[in-house]
Amino acid sequence: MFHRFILRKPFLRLSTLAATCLGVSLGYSSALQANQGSTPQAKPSFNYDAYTRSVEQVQLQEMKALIQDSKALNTLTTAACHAEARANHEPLSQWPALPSLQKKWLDTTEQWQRLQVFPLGPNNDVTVRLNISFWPDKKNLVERKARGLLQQGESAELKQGGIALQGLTASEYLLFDPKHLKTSTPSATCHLLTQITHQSEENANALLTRWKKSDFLVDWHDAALGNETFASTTQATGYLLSSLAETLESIAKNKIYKPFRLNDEKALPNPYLAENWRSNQSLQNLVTNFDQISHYYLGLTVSQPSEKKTVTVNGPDQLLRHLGFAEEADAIVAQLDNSQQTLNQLVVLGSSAYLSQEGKTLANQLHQNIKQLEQALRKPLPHFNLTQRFNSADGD
Amino acid sequence: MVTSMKSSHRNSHAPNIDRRRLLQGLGSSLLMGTMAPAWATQALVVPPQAAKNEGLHLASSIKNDANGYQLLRFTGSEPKTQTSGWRGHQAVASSNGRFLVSVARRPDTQLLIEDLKAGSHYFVDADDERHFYGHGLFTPDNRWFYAPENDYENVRGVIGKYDVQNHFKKVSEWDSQGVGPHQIAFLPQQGEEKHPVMVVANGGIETHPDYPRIKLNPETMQPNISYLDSNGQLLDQVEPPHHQLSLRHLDISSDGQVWTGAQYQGEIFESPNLVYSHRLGENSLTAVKADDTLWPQLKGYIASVSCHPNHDTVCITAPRDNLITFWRRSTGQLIAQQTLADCAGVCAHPSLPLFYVSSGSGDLAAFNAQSGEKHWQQHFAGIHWDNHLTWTVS
Repeated sequence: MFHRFILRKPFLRLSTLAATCLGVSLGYSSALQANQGSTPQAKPSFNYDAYTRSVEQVQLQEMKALIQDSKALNTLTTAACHAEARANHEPLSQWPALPSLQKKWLDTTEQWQRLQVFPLGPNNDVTVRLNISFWPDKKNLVERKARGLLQQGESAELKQGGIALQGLTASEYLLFDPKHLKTSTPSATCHLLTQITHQSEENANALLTRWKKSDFLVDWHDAALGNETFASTTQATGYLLSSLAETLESIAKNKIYKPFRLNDEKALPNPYLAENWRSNQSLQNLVTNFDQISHYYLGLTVSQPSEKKTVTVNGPDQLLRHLGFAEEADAIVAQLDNSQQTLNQLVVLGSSAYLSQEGKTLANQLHQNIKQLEQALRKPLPHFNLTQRFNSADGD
Repeated sequence: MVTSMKSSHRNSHAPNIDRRRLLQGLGSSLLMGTMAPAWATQALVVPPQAAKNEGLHLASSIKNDANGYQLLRFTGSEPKTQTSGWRGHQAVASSNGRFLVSVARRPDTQLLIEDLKAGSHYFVDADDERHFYGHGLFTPDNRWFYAPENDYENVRGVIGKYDVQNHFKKVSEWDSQGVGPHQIAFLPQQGEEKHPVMVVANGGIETHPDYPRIKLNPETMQPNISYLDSNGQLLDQVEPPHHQLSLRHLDISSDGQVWTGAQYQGEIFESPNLVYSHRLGENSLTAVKADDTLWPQLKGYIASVSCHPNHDTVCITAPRDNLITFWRRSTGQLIAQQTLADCAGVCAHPSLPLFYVSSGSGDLAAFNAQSGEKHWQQHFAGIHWDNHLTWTVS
């Protein structure tokens, strides 16, 4: 899959990424080149229909990819947990199937991290997200619930574990938790693990069904005509920018500020508050998140089967420039670039990022970069005439 | 400057009387005036004819863009606000006009008590290991105040009982007979009965403040409507037809018919009927009569329910579809619909054939209780009316 290969290059500098996008952008290159020339007042064109379709197509592709990964994880788990494994009382850490199961789990989680940052539509519901991956989990509910069900052996029913056990965080516990790998066995784990990976596949399928059946998709598709949700494609893009800012606020708080304990200069970080500490994926998740956020802002790469090629479609960045807000767009690009540079430095430290002063200093810098990026994204919002939702967004 | 009282029957602390007296001495004008938003000084907040003819007495929890979360009340065109510091849900008025209480929504832990007679206000804290659900209820004689609470370590709903004459000190609590008790109401008073039967909407959703706003048990939830006698003993209980129909809000007509609105926790496109009625002793809930396509259209979500005391109508809001619905109580037929962006709060005029509806977008509007026709609508810039609207007493 060429598209996924492109998206999974994690360490592209944004300026490089932007340049890559420019070369193949639909309705982008010529206009922006003009803007970079001797007529700075010239505004690039913007293809509204191509933009909304690109978001739809990428969401569809990403959900299908998650289904594929989840299915592969479930199929492999079912195969690994055959009768012989269920009689295996050796420690899980010595289970021959473990490395391949861990690899499939990592693939699935990476794909979820791509979807996780898309901030609009029916799959943005907190319960939906927690079903896929239960986090933040500040009191280690996943482990408590999992241990409770493991004690019930073959009679355990997954639904009794509640939302904490319905997805990837629960299978991460069973496949990666150092203590569990030492003290449990394939025999004790397989019954619960197969239920969880099956549920993960169901959850991934439900994402796509929910997306396809949603009013949101209809309204997004027809945004150019104006409807109850979006007055125009421009306003729909404004909602995307606003929601990406909220996503970044959450990332800054939950993925950086809390696990690195930035509230206290002298406090040691607490990696257990990080998203996927058991599999040591927390920082890699951030890379995936930022990679995808960059694409949503700069423009998405979609396939064009009729021409057997992929193209990068203009995104909110070009819309801002088209509307005459190039300065705001430049500020967003600069802050995206700063954030990704700092993140790349942090990722190089690996798990020691949580153990060293250097890691904490870089995390603090990254937190500041993201807050500035969030502010840069919010700055042009008054131009989009957005409606603030109160009871409908967070009622009770 | 405010006081905070720990009103616990287990951790009993004497109210801070000196501070309360100090507050009383300052008087409401200073307390309120310093908090008043810019629009509060504007002369016109509702159409003057409406303010005069309808004798408006409304209250609500709000979010004010300038000052944050507040309790708002106004009589006629005169608004007063009091900052709470947390998001309230329902404003509860005593029938003698003395108290107005803002109840924190989950997982917050305070009541804001406005003593309108004394011109003071104070806060009451929930017990340890309890939080409020945004709702409360005075007994008809205003002697006691009840509030649904979460005993979250034991995954158990409780109804806290507070002594109004003793600064809302908590004196006891009942089992709510379910998880996630939300709105409560009394059946109509029978004769000289001081304490009518309480009706509890147990939403069925397990939550814990360590995981704020997260629904922990969507697959195993068991919502219900429970009827409790004056000692908190269960008289009757009825469950909805689907276990993920979280029965959250309710109102009771003057002849004792309970109307409840649900929030569906399954897939929106599969949403079943969200509105039901019931009478004590009936075997099951009675669904209203509407096309099946209505419920997914409403996004599986009902915000508020209000029965008119003198007319055969109930008004129900669905903010996720920006829709106000009017139903004939006696037949369960949908009789009218109106749109209002982010509409949620609704209450009936005590005598005139009017429903008032408020919205998170800042609007307040009045509708004819028989036809659903809109009478007037007024926008309050910078104000987000929260989920419920309350008719207060002069």
